[in-house]
Amino acid sequence: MTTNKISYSQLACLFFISRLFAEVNSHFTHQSYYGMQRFTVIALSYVLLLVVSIPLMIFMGRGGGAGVLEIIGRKSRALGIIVGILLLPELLFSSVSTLVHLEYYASSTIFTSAPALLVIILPIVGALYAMKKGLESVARTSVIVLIAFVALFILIVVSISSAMDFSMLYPALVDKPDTLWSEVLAEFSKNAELPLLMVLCGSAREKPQRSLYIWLPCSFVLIELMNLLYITVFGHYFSSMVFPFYTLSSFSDIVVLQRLDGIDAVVWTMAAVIRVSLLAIAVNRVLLDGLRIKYSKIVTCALYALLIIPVLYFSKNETVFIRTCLSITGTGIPLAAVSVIIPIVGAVCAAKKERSV
Amino acid sequence: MRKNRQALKAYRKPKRTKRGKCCAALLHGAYSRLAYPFARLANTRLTAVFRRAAGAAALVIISAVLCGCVPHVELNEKAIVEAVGIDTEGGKYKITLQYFNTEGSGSSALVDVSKPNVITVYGVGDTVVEAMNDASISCGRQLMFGINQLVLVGREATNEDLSDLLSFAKTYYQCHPKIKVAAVDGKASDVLAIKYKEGASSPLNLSYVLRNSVMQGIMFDSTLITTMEDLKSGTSSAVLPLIKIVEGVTDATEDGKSILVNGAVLYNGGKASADITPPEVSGLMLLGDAMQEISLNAEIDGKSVALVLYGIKTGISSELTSEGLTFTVKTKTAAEITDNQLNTGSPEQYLLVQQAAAEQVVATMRLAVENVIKKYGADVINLEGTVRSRSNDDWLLLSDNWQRALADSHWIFEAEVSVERYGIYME
Repeated sequence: MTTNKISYSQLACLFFISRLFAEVNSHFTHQSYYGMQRFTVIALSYVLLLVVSIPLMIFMGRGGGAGVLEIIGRKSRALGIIVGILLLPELLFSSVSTLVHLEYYASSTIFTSAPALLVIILPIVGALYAMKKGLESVARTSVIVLIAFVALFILIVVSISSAMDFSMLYPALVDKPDTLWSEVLAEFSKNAELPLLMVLCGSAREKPQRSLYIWLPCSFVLIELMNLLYITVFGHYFSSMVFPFYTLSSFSDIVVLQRLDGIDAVVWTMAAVIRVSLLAIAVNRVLLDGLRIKYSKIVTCALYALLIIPVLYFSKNETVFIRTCLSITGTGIPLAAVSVIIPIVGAVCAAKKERSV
Repeated sequence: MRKNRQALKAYRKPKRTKRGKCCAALLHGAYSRLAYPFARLANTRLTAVFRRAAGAAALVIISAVLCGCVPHVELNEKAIVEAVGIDTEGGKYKITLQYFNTEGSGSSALVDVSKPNVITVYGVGDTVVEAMNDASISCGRQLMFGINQLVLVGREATNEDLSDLLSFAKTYYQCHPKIKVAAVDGKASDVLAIKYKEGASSPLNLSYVLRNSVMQGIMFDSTLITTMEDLKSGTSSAVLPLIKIVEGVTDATEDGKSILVNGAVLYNGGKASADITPPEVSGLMLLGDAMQEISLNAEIDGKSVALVLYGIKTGISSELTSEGLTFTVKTKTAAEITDNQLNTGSPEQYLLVQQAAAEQVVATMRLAVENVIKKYGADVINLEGTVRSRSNDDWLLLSDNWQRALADSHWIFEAEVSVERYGIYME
């Protein structure tokens, strides 16, 4: 039987998969370069993420298991609507971004002849169905994807260990100081999971902040490891790669399986569906708790049906998308603003409520 | 009518007692609705198992039917490319593609030797991709590079930028990163015209020749990904094995022709700069720690001792001083004596053998340094990484004039050979 409450480890698993998808498939919008600076950029982006998530951690500690929107909405309906209006564009933009990245990845690699419309519509249908079934179904599916990913990652590491050249590493943490902070902000902006946690923290059975404690270090270590593989295997060629993890998997060779890119495609397609499902569930929650829309699921379905238009447009005009994406999210400001302001408002509302009680 | 309504109500709101399992819970709603028309036809109450089975069957049928809605190319409409030859003629690229012949093997007979196992098709164009499209139109099939074995670059085509020649790998994403890449002393199409009598296909045999040359320490393992990586280095240098056609050495092919890996072509600045001799290639492989084993002869008092060096480990360190860049190369290797004309086997003589072998190792590496690295300023063994791993500041000082720095560099060699195996018969 499915319920709307999941454990904090399931929540962490969901965010972990979602973050990995953003990391692996966003190279065409956020180009990464060969050099040790890459490791510094990731580390600094996580430090920034940790700092930005402090208000959320405080809120989750005091929230008593309720979501930000629930608490704010209960305190003041107007404030709930404002917060909902702030969150909705962020979540919808992340959905568009995920679908454009999926379409670009699929049409460039395995599904070269698949029509764009089908690649976009099918995940949306799957995500909306998942939204109907509730968060638990998505969480259980994410565990399956996590197992598939871990198996793929282990196979890749085992098969390419001989191709790793550690002379590609050198003792310098910053190569290009002038681009360091723009790279850090671009890396930070990939974390659309923070607003998701804000909205969905009420779905955890207990202590939702623990999902943050699991997801943050795990994703940090794994992303650093992935970049270590890219740099030691591809060297300078890493800078020219659009899908380094895909190339890594097609490069891997395990006796019977001469290339692992088929598994790679399966993992990232499933991960994309999970990410869009999470976003759809969060949009539904924002509409329900923030904007107080009665038929929130129908409105969510309508919103995602409308999203097909911008996704189709951007998938045909990637340059426009890259420019838009970098100018809006690449700065990291929208994400930081949403992730700091809303939890603070939520924490204040929760504190006032406690006092009145 | 009333009975039907009751049945409809029952199936729309199925009992939840058997929905414990995750999969069932996920698909339950969809199954019940899909199974409902069957239930009405049967006019009986469905069991949970039947509902799920009918729903699953309906989903499978729908999925199977939907496949036809997606534009696709059937396997028999694809040219499954096994080898690519790139030549230039009259300022245009001429591409030779060999693709799998479905009538030559597979289908009803395992291998029909009366028919060729590969079909050759040619294409011409201003770019490699354009020439490939031309070949695709000529054969009326969509090109598929998923199991491509090798890419051969003809002598004339080596004058073109190697990155441009291999750019088709960016267009055709399925290209395997481990495709062997080699240069041909002549035309690539001539090498691909060699037909082997044995084996699954001729391109596969050609790739085996390249693979064996790597195992025997004759040549670097030159694949699509390693070549692209090398071309991205500071000097855009790469080494491609050079294939020559030899006649009358085998009866494994229809016309008695075969191929031989004879040295390499050095690419510097992305374009072919010179041919490298086999000893120079061996020297580069020793320096690059890419040699698995190598055979050599040590001369002691006019008598020859044949050795096989194995377990070869080379480390290079660098130092930037006021006199310039200095590299120190340290090589350690074990050795096995394969042919001994000394006939005594005294410890003193073995020490002499080890010393002579070490001198030869140093001589081979020195040859490669002088004739390749210093002469052309070509960084084919990731010396950039060596300098950077010591000090990135040194690299920043040198990076703008890296080729000049390599040409003026000083080298110190140390080699240690230890004879550890003497064969199974002692003197």
